[in-house]
Amino acid sequence: MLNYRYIITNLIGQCVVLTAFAGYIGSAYAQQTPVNASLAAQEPQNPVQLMQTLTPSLVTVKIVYKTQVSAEGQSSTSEGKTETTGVVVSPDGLVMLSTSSYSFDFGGFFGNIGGGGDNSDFKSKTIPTDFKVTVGHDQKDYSAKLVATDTILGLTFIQITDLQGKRLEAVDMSQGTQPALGEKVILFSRLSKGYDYAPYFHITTVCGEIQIPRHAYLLDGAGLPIGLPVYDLNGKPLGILTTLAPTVVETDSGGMGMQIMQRLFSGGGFGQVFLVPAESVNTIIIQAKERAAKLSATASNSSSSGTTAAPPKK
Amino acid sequence: MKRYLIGFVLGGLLLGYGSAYTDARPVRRGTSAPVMRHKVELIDTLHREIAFARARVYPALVNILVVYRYYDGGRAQRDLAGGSGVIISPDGYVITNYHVAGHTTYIECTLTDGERIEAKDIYDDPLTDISILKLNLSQRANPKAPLHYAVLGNSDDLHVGDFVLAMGNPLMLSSSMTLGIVSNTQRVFTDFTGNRIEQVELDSGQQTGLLTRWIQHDALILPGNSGGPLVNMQGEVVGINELGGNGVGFAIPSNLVRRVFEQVLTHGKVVRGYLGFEPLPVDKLGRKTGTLVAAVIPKSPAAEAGLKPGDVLLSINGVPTNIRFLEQVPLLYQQVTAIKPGTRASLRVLRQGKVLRLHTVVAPMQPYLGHESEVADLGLTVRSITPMMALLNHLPDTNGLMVTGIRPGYPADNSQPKLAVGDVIRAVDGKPTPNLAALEQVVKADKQQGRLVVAYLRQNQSCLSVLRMEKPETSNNDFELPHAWLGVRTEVLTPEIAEVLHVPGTQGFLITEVFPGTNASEAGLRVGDIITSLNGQSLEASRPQDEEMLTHAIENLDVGSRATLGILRGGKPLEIGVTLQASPSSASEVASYQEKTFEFAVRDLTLFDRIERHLPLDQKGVIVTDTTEGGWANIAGLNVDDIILSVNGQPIEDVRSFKRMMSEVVSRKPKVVTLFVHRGALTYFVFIQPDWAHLN
Repeated sequence: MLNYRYIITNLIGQCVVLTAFAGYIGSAYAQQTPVNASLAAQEPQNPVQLMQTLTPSLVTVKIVYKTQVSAEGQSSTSEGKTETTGVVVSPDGLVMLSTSSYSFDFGGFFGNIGGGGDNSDFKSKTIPTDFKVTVGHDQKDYSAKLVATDTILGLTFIQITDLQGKRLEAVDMSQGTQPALGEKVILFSRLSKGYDYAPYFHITTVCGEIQIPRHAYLLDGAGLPIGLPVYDLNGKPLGILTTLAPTVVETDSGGMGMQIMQRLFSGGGFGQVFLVPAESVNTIIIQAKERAAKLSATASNSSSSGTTAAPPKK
Repeated sequence: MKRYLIGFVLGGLLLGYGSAYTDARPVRRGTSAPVMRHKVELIDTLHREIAFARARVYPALVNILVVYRYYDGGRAQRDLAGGSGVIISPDGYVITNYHVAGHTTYIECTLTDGERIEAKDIYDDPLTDISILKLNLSQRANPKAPLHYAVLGNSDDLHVGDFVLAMGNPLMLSSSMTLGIVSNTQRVFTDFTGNRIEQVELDSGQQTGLLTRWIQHDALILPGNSGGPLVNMQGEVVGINELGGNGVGFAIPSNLVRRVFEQVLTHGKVVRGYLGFEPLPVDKLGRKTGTLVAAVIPKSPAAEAGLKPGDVLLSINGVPTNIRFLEQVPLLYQQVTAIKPGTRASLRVLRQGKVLRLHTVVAPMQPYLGHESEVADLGLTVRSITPMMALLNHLPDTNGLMVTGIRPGYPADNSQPKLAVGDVIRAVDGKPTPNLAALEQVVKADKQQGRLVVAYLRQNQSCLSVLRMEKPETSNNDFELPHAWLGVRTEVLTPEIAEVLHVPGTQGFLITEVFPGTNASEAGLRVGDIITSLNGQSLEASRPQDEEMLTHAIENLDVGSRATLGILRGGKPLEIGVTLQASPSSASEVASYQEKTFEFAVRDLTLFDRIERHLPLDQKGVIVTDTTEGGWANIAGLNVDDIILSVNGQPIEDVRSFKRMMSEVVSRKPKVVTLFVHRGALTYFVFIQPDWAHLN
């Protein structure tokens, strides 16, 4: 004969245990939901849509440059060319790009290797001589002229000269916002001509903040595109990526090879990549716009001889 | 007794020592003296022979300095080079290497007495790497004074072991001489298998060596010896030094040099016959006579005659052609090239056991490489196509121009699709361009349209490319944006330094330098002042890494705004106001000038140029911002950052006066343009010697 009492008792017992267990799991799930929800809120609503909206301001710039190297009283010059991605900062064709895309301070680097300071006899200077800008997937290359550089942030500004009234999509750093530690951010760039300048995006996290040598933020990840804007997940500009070199350089006792390795991996000498806030960048952009306007006015007034006259002072 | 014993011992010792001394002399009595005398006589003879040979040839040695043109990176460039040569006639003909004097726009020869005379390149023969120059004797201090010259000897009389002298100008040092012996009189170069002659490629791309069996020797030669004479003990030139290194030298035999020289004197050029086949030794066929035909060049006289690879060539015009070893290959080439073009040649060949007679007409030998030139408007260099180039590159014919270099940023570089080195331009805008003159004509006529359509061959494909006629514009101004700048240098006031300065607990910046002529200097800031605040805000700097705090704070202010600095001087606080000026890195607001004739650029000096270089604040002059590689100023040694103080003795104030001075120079065309410059901490003279007849 079955012991129904036992069975029922156990069945009830089992149900109680199962219910309790289910309740525990449910409450745990319920507790997780708010965190997941906040994380979900950080994910871009549609990074593809953001890419479609924001990458038209990214242009491909071909640069021809001349490098002058001098050492021990002798100098030599060589020509070269390179290609990089820049960003339009003004609809009339002012483009911003990273100076390091075409220029490297050999003299400063060797000076730092030697123990700090730019006291090396080895000097180098790179002068860009020609810019051609490709907008999006266009076949046409627009000519551009150099208008300004900023050594502190490592930026170069060029002005497209033959837009013929066309207006370009531009990023407006004056509408920027401050990044926050831990915040997810998104940035964009373009591949090269061989890939038809296809745009791509990269989502990363603000993982550090520095005050020295200046206020900036560190992003997680390597190989990030320098000289280009970084946005929050709503598409607001936060600033631009650039290299900042420390001003205090420790002299190491190791050989040059060891120093080079240490510089490369610690960020000294070459400089590490940081996100410089939009406010700082915007100040420079405004100055570059003013310079572009001044040069445009001067160019139309200059003589036809080989001399460039000094522009009239304000 | 004791005394006798001592004397006996001493005497014995003396006798023994004397005997030992006698036995120590190197040769046995009766034969040692003559051998020694003979050795001394040999050395004396060698000294005399060296002196004799030196006296006969050394005064004829010349140090050659050239400005030569080469093509690199899509443009023509210039550079200085040097070598050696030897005068071989009383009217001033000089023999040197083609790789020394070919492609030159200016040649200067310095004689051993120090006299400098310009020379003209009369003839270049890349195949033998020989150039013949002619001294401009009218430039001599005494044009009628007899010119010392050397005599070409018979290089076939040389033997391995013969003493030879190498004379020349190694490393551009003034004339020197080294002694060695002949190591080999029939040196040829082969591939690594040792089965095939390999020619030597010169810097210009030309090949040399087909006709040459070098004299190998061990008289030390170095770069700069090229073109100098190899001299025998009879004081005759038996070779022209061409290659060397690691203790071994190679000279072109004088008999080969003589043939080139005599042809040039007689006919104005060297004419060589050509049949068009490649020979190999028959040794591996087990034969002792004949030459194995390895290849027949299509459409050549040999091909027309029906010569085929695999044939054994037995004779040409009845003269046996026996090549058992690679060292005999140049002799066969000499035999063929000696046949006058246009004459009939009878070839006796062995083919599959049968002897055949083939007939053909000898053709003139063509250069290996065509002439290279720059097409500046397009930003590329091109080379005309020779039959050999057409053959090696599988081209249908010699029409067109082969691209050898493309200049970054110029129309050819921006072509769509992009032109590449190796492409053969056949037409522009539909007009054929079989040669350089045609190409230049079309470009000149059509460039104003702003666009050219180029038809070219690339690996058997007939392609088209569009060139936009835009060139890069170099601006040598500095485009750096100005930032607010205080005009001082500082260091952080660390706690230790503060302690030493008797201001413990103070934070801020110690002024280490005040730039003269700046607002900071005028406001009264001094070295030793401690800056503790800026516009009322304390500067909480006490660690080395706080170094940039003050600079950044200043940069955030506007240029022209007033900064109030809280200062501690001698322990006493005070306030100093300074109007901030623009940072010294920006030099875009000054006048600049591009000197097109000598290809360099200058701009006016700024206050900060003077400060940085520790010059007087009223220093005048212009600063060099760019020198074009290979330009006249560049090869004269003008450097970027030089400050030009005067031109031909005339002081320069600024860009305006410099431009005026240079216009006068270009119109007067002096032989030498002297620039007095400030370089580093010292001054220097730069002598530009342009070839006014060949400026570009």
